Amino acid sequence: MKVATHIVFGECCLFAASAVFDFHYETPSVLAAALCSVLPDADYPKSWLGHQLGSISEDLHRLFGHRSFMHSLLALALVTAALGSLLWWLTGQSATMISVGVGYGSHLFADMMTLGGVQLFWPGRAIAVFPGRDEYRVVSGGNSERVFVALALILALLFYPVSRVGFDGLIYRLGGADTLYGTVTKVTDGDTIEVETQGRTTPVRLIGVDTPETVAPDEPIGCYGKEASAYTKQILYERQTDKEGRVVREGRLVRLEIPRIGDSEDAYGRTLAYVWIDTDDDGEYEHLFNEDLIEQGYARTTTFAHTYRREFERAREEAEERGAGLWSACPEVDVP
Amino acid sequence: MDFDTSKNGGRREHRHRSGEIPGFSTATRTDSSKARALEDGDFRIPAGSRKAALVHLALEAWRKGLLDPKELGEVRGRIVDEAGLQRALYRSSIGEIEHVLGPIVKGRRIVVEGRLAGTGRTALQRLGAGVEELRLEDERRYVDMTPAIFVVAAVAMAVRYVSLGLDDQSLYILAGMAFALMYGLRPFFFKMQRPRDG
Repeated sequence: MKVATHIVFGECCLFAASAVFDFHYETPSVLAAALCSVLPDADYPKSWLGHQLGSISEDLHRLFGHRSFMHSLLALALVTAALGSLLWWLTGQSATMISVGVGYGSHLFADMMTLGGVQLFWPGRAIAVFPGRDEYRVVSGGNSERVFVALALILALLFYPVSRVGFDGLIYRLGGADTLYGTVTKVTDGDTIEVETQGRTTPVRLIGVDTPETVAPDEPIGCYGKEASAYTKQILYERQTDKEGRVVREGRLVRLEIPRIGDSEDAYGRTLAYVWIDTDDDGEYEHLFNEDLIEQGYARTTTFAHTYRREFERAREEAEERGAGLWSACPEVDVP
Repeated sequence: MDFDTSKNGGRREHRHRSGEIPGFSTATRTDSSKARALEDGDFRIPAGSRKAALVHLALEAWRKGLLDPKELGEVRGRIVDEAGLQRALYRSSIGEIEHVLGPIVKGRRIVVEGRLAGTGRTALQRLGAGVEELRLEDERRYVDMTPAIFVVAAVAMAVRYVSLGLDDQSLYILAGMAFALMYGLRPFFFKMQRPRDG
């Protein structure tokens, strides 16, 4: 198969794996998957990679032959362990190691779908093929390969957006959410507020974030808990005044997004919601306060699935790298 | 770049009606040291399914004058040529062919030109014959990975129940979609499987 076919299929597999197995990736992972999707052809001097490697490729070909050791499960395990670990260490992202395995594995799977098959169980000489019937397999360089790469490209384009939000995120988005507008009447904690909607006050727990405890009766005040609580109070409970300076509203007007999938309340009877705020007074509530808490380093992320989990994870990683908020103030605290 | 995947590997062009064949080695599955030249009392049949093996064995016995076609019910007492006998054999039940062949092949060596399916081998061995397979010395052995799909389908089905236990809705939906896809494409997956050699 051609280099382009392997790269497209490798990326398609990475996006699909990310969507299904719930790991998020960044640019280094995409590059690692692309590189490793052509790496097994190092044993073939006539391939693109073989030309680049020169005598190394010729030596590999002489020692093992094409589609033998380099196309085996053994090589997959070795490369993933060695190169994957190295990239993980260099980038600090575990997703790069997964990408190495996925990219390399995608090459083996793609070659298994060609007429020749691969010696997947090397040093055993049996040739693994998929599917079993010769007429259903791809002819390298033929029309069937063009069809194959076109399908892989379409699937990659379909999987890409799903991989960015995660399969969880997709399901929660498809499930939709209810919207409520209300005024914040009290800030209990960094991640818990009370909102008055339709004449009724409701306790609200912000989804996907976890600020250090400040009010739990049986727990000490957590590191950076007071700061988180103060920040939430500053943003959500700030007094709103009109042009003449008269107090219009004590708390801030917010939009609550309550997902339809999953529980709408937690064990303490608090409504689980995303809190959207209007930052530039244009009447559009498009700033997600939950994410803001993570970006500023006031909160950690929770582990359960929800609509914006991927976005929150990315924001947390960035905050952690910057050493924002609690990540520099109290990094030794174990994540619950 | 690709290997030659023709399952016969050109073996039909090299086939001779008797004696050793260049490129073939005669060996049982278990002991290749038992290879020896074809003898007069031996039978030589092409590879195939259990029924095909028995039919070819019966035809071979008929050619050697060891089988009376009239013993087969489907022949109905007529005089038949090779084609007629072959038709009658295919119409006959496996049990009837085995009954007719039993006394003829007992204690004899049967050389199969290629790989004999497990049921065919068992059938011939039950009749008291020794079975040997002729294999190309550089024959490539293929492993069909299509059944792995059925393993994935089974895992998807199991994950649905696991997700119920974990109360994970998205996992339940994902596993359900995967299983539905696998189940829907099941006939196609069966068709994708590599046919048995012979």
